[in-house]
Amino acid sequence: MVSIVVVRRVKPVPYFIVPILALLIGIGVSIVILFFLTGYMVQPMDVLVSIWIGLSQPNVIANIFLILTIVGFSLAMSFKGGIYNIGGEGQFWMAAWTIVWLVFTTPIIVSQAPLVSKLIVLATGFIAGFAWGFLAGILRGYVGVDEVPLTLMMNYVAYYLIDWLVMLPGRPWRDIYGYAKTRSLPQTLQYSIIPGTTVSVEMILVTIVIGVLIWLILDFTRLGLTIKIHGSNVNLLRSAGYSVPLTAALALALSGGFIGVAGVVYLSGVTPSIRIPVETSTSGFGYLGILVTWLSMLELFAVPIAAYVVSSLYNAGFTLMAIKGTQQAGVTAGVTNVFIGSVLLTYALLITISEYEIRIVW
Amino acid sequence: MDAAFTGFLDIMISSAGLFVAFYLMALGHSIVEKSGILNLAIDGMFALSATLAFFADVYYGNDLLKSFLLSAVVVAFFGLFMAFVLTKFPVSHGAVGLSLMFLMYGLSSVIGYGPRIVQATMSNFSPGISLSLKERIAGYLIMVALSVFAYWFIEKTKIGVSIKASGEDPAAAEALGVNVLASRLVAAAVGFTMIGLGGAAYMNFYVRLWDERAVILSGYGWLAFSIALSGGRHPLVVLLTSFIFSILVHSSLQLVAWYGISRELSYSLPFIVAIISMTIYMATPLRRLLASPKSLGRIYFREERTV
Repeated sequence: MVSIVVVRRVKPVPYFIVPILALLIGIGVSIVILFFLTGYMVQPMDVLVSIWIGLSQPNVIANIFLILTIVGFSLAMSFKGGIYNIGGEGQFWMAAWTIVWLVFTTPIIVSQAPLVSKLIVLATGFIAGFAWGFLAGILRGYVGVDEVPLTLMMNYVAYYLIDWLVMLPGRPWRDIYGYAKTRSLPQTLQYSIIPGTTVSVEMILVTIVIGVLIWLILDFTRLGLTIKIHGSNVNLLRSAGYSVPLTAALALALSGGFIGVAGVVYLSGVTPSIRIPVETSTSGFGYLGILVTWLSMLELFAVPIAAYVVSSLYNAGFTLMAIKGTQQAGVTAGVTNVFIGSVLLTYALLITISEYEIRIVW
Repeated sequence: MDAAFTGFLDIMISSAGLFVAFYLMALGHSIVEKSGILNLAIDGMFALSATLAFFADVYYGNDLLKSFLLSAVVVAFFGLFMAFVLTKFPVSHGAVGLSLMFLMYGLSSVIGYGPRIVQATMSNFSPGISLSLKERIAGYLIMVALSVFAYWFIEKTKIGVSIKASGEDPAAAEALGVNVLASRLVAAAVGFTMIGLGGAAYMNFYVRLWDERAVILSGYGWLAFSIALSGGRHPLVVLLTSFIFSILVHSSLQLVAWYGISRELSYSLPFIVAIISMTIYMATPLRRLLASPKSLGRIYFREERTV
C-alpha cells in the first residue's frame, strides 16, 4: 500500500527555495496547459521566449514593474496582519477615478506648481484608496464579514460605479469626442517618461518612498507592531488592550491607501485617462499584486524581485498574443491568468515543503 | 396590484434558468463548506463550467447531456483535488482556492475562445435551449425537491452527519471513527458536481452566449458564494436566497427601463445587495442560528500519518 508520510522538518528549507521552485514548476504547468488547450499551437519555446523577452528587457516592463512593486508593498501590509485584501483592484480604480474627478472639477489644483499639484493628487489618491479600504475594514473588523468575498465584491461595485460616473453626460471629465473614456489628465500632472524607457523619475521616487514608508510603519511604529501581532496572535493583541477590530480595519485601509497611490501613478505615468468598461480594460494590477506579495513571502525586500518576475509573466501573455495571434491560437489576455494561477497554486502547495517533509512510502 | 403581481410572475418565470443555476451552485458550495473546506475557487469553477458547457454545445451540436456532463466531471475533478490536498496536507484553504480561481479564469479564457470563433461560422446557432413555460415551472419544482433531498442527505444520513462533523471538529470526528478524508471527498464530489451543473445551467438555460464579460467577468460565482453564506448554507434557506438573487439579477436590467437608472448601476446592484446580505448575516442572530461550520477554512492536519 502506498503511504504518504508528512513530518515536520527539524530545520526549515531556506525560504527563497519555495518561490523559485513554484515559479519553475508553475511555468512548466502553464506550458503544458497552453500546449494542449490551444491544439499544440502554442509550443513550449513560444512561452519560454515570451517570458524571456520580459525578463531580459527591463525597459519594456519597467512601468508594470514599478506599479506592481507598489501594490505588492501595500498588500504585504495587510497580509502581514492576516487580512487578505483582495480588493486592490477596487482601491486602485477608485483612487484613479477620484483623481480624475478632482482634477476636472477643481481646476485650482492644476494651476499650482507642478510639484505641488502632483503631491496633492498623490495624497488624494491615498485618501480615496484608504476610504474604500476602510469601508471594507470596518465590516471586516467590527461586523466580522469575511474580507475575501467582501473586498472581491467591492471590486465589482467599484468597476460599475466608475463605468457609470465616467459616462455621466455633460460632466467636465467626459471625453470631448464622446469615446468611452475620460479626458486625459492635464500635462502638468503627467509624468515625463525617461527616454528609452517606460518609466519616469516620479514613478521611481514614489515607489521607493512607498516601500520605505511601509517598512517604517511596520517595523518602527506601534501601529505596525499591532498589525503584525494581529496576523500572528489576535488574543495577545486583545489581552494587551488594543482594539482588534480597529487594527484590522486600519490594516485594510492603509493597504488600500497605498494601492490608491499606485492608481495615481498609473494614471499619471502610464495611461492618463480611464477607459470603460473598467472591468474589461483593467490590467488587473490589484490581482497581480497578490501573486507578487505571496511570492515575496511577505518580505518587503523581496517584493521588487517578485514584482519583476510577475511583470515578465504579465508581459509574456501579451507577447504570446503578438507571436501567435489571437485568431490563430486563441491566445487572449486571459493567458496571463493561466500563468498567475499555475504559479500561485504551485506556490500554495509547495509552501508546505518549507516546514514539512513529505515522504511517499511504498 | 394585479399588474404588479403579473409583472412579478413574468420576472419569476423568465428568471427560472438563472434561479436553477444559482441554486445548484449555492447548494453545491454549501455542501462543500459544510465539510470544512473553504471554497474560494467558486467563481473560477463557475466560469470554467459555463465555458465547458459552451464548448460542448458548439462541438456536439447542443447535446445537453454532454454539455452538463463535461462541466460536472471537470469541476468535480478539480474539487476532489482541492479536497484531497486541503485535508491531507497543511495547506492554506484561501491560497489554494484563490489560485484555482485564477487558473480557472485562465482556462476559461483559452478554452472559450475556439468555440466562439466556430460559433460565428454557424448560422442560427445559440448554445443551450430556450425553456418553455412548463420547463421553467418544472425547474422551480425540481429545485424545491432537490432542496428537500439535500436537507435529508445532510441531516438524516450517516454520510451527511459525517460531512457536518468533519466541518465542525475534524479531530474529534476522526477520534469517533469518522473518516474525515472520505467524508470531505464525498462532499466535494457531490458539491462540485452541483457547481458544475449550475455553471452549465447558466450557459444552457439562461445566458446562452459566451464572452468574457458574461462568463469570466460576471462575478456570478461570487454571488452564489454570498447566496450560500446569507442562507446559512442551509438547503431550504438557500432556496429562498437563491430566489431573491435570481429575481434581483434578472430584474436589474429592467430597473433601467422602469426607473431610468443607468445600466452600469443596475449591474452593481446584486453585488451591493450581496455585501448587505453578508453584513446582515454576520450582524444579526442569523449568525448563531445558521452558524458556519466551526472549522471552516482551518487547516486540519496531523503529522506523521499515512493514507
